[in-house]
Amino acid sequence: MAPKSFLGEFEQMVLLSILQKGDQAYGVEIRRELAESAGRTVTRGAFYTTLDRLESKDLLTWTTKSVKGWRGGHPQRHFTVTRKGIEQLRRSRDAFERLSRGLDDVLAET
Amino acid sequence: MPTPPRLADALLSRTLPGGLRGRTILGDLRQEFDDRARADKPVWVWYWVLALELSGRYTLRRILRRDGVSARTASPRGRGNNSGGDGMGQFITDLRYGLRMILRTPLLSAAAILTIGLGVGLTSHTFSVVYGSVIRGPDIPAVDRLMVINRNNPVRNSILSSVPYLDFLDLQAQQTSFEELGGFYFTSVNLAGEETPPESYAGAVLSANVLSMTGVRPILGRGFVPGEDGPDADRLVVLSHGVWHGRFAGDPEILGRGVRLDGESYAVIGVMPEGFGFPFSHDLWITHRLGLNAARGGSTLDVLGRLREGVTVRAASEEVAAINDRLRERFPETNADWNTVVMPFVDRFMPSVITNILVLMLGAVFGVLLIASANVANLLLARATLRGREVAVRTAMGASRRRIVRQLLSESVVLGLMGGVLGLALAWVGVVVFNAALVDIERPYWIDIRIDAVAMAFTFLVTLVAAVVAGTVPAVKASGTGVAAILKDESRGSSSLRLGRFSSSLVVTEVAVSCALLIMSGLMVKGVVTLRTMDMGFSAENVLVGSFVLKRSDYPEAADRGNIMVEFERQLRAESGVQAVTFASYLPGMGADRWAFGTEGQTYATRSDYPQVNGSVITSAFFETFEIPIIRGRAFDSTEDAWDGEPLAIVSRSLADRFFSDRDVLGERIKLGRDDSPFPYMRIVGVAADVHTGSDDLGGLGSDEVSSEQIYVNQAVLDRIGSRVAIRTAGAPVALAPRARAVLQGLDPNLPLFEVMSMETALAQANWAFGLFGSLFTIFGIAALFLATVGLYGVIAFSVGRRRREMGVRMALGARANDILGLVLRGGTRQLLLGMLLGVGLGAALSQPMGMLLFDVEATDPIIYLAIVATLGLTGLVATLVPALRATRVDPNAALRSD
Repeated sequence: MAPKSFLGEFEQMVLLSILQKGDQAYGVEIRRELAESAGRTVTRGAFYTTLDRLESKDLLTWTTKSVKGWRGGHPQRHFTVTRKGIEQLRRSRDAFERLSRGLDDVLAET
Repeated sequence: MPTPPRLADALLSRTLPGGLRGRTILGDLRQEFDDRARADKPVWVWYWVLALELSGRYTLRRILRRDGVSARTASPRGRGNNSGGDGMGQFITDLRYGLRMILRTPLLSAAAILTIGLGVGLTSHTFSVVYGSVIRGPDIPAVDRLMVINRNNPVRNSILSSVPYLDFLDLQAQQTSFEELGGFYFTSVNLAGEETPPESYAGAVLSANVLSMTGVRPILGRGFVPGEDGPDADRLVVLSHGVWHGRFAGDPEILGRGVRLDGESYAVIGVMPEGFGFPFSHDLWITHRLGLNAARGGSTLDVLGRLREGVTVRAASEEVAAINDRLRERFPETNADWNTVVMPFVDRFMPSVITNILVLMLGAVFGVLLIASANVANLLLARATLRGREVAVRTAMGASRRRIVRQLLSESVVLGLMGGVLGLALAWVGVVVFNAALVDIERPYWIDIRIDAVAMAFTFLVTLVAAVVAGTVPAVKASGTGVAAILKDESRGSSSLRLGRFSSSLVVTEVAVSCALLIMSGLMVKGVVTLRTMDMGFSAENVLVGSFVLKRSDYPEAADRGNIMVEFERQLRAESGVQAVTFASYLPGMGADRWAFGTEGQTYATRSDYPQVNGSVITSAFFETFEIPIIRGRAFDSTEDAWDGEPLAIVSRSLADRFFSDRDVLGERIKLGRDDSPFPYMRIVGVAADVHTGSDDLGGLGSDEVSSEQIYVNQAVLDRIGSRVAIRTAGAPVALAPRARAVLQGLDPNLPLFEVMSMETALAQANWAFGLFGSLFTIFGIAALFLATVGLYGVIAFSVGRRRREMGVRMALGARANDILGLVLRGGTRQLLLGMLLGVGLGAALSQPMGMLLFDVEATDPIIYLAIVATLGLTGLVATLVPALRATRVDPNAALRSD
């Protein structure tokens, strides 16, 4: 069955960053990954609300980890992409690959 | 290690989502804060920007209900959604509630918004005027330490005179209270270019240190340095931004360029910032060429000084006075009777009378705001009583009184904010109109009236206060009554007495304040009407006026000046449409000199026994040009305008009556000044009808007090460097302006004719204060009348509506329509009469300090008081009558059946 919607570009990037960071997929680290790998700096407001939106679509979950002597004592959130999230990413990747077929010359760097 | 600003954290705690979600975001921010601090990057501003961004985003999401996260998706370890976000969430809910209530009663809400808008708009506008004129002050560092030293002479009736140059040098040498002293005086400067005609500019002639004393640096080039003044100094000029842009098109290569000032070559060394016009409204700055050979008692300047740290104005005044005493002892011939005055720079050029008037205006407009707030309070009271049942039910269901008050208050806050936005727009329009009215008026350069951040912050504050004041009592009263009482009351429809007394006292206050404001504006309007319609004793129609200045450097001999003026007059007379031409030091209705004089053969015991009267230097065609009748003797003959005629004088009728009542004034000889004056005796050859002398100061304020005792002296006796020319024309005077300018230019290309306008325009400009303040107070008065009338109507109408059942019972018991009418009218007129009584007293008290603003009007003018009472009474009566008549049309059956 065809999915009702595709992920937005930024949403994909956020989920991929979470997967890339694996054990270290905490808020600050995910933002840094986005900035370094994708060259994408985004306001914190947009970043956190995107996380909320992905959570409301059941594409990620999070758990908290307490810290001491750091971050003012506030806990960290560790994010994990759900199975549904991975499926969405796969669909988006597949759609991207199909659409890009035969366009290597056009998309090649000059 | 620094920590994030607590206020920013507090803001985030209240606005971020609740529970662990919000805490982890806070933790992320803290982590990044610490990383930046370790890397020595700036953290405070960065953190604040983040806090505001996140708070704003989450608050907006909440308002638009786009949280995207409901309670069920909160973390399993969280304590629920409400901790941390409680206060903000409730605030948003209250605001939404307020908005809904407002939309439910659009007419009432619109009335409230308009009322607040009017009150806030007038208040903000007036505040902008007062702030821009008086409070903000010049952009000079520590301007309150900058003083001006002047002299006064009670015997000569001289108030703020300059200090002679040699006295200034003595002050400089002997004083210890000031860091340094500098001097300045004003002159008009003719600036000529190669291809452009000369223009006259206001120039300030300074000692070299004066510009640097202001602490304001040029935007191009430099100011003067010590040593660049005195007789041997180079001719250097600093330009204002306006002249640089207007005359030289903002030429970036202006520095070093040569310009001709009064026929001499000057080099431009600097350009001052935009808006700078020190000390008053000046366009360019040059240094003085005074030297030690200046005569004692000769060339004078205003002295500027910056107080040393720790020195008070009083101590400085005493030191300067002591130095002056020593000078008086050493040089009695020149310094006798002169005292010194030390005053702050701003006070020297911004007369306190104008400041007082502006403050009075601010007080008046707060009165309007009070009325507006009272009106809105009554509107909200009315609405609150209509919702008594709703409030009772909610209370019964457990809502705390505090919660209900907060919700009711939130309505008035939302109304207030909407009214505030409207008010800001009105204030902006008002400022534009005000500035347009003042565009031709000379004023201190630092007066800049606009809606800026301070005005907007003031508007916001005033709006909030007005809304809270208007909303608090209705909210408290509406929420404070017992549930049972309200429910019982609702079903029986009895009179809403518990809110009636407060409402009535609000209306009485409104009527009193508006009565007082109307009285003040009525008095001012009468003055303006008097000024505009009075017979000034001369004709201002079809007269063109202009000014020019003959520089001693260009026209060193009196004969040179006389010759060019004679030729100027001759050529003007030859122009088509010209009926008469005259020169005068003062135009009628626009002020005069003050001269002491003595009569030949009369002795005067002391210097103060010499009478002081008005004086004007004129040429022979003066009386013909202004159609002033000569009632005895004759006017000056045109031949007597030449320099070697017998000194002659003409006096006004009131002077002749006062000083020569016992003899024929014609043939008497008088001398200007006192017994030691160098002026010759002059034979009186004519008596002219009195004219309204007026004033060229303070926009005309106080000009109604100036007497009409006047001496007219021919130019031949007392030549003037600066002169006004007046030309009587057959047709519209302004049409002649280009020709008049061209004639003078043809005689001397370096000599501009400036301030060319019709005499009527010149008179209006000279009396601008009456027109301007009169208009403003009239607007306040009309606004107050409108608001008070609407308020009175609203309260009576609402009371009648609430008492329908009672009316029905009365009519069922036999009361006739007239009885009902009388019942309602009595209630309304009681409030009206009490308010007017208080208002008359208040108006009389507030009108006393307005004396200067009232042209030829007593502050207790009975006609005005009666007119205002009649107007207000009639308006109030109509406002009461309309609902009263409605009450008589109540159907008793319908009223009794209603619930």
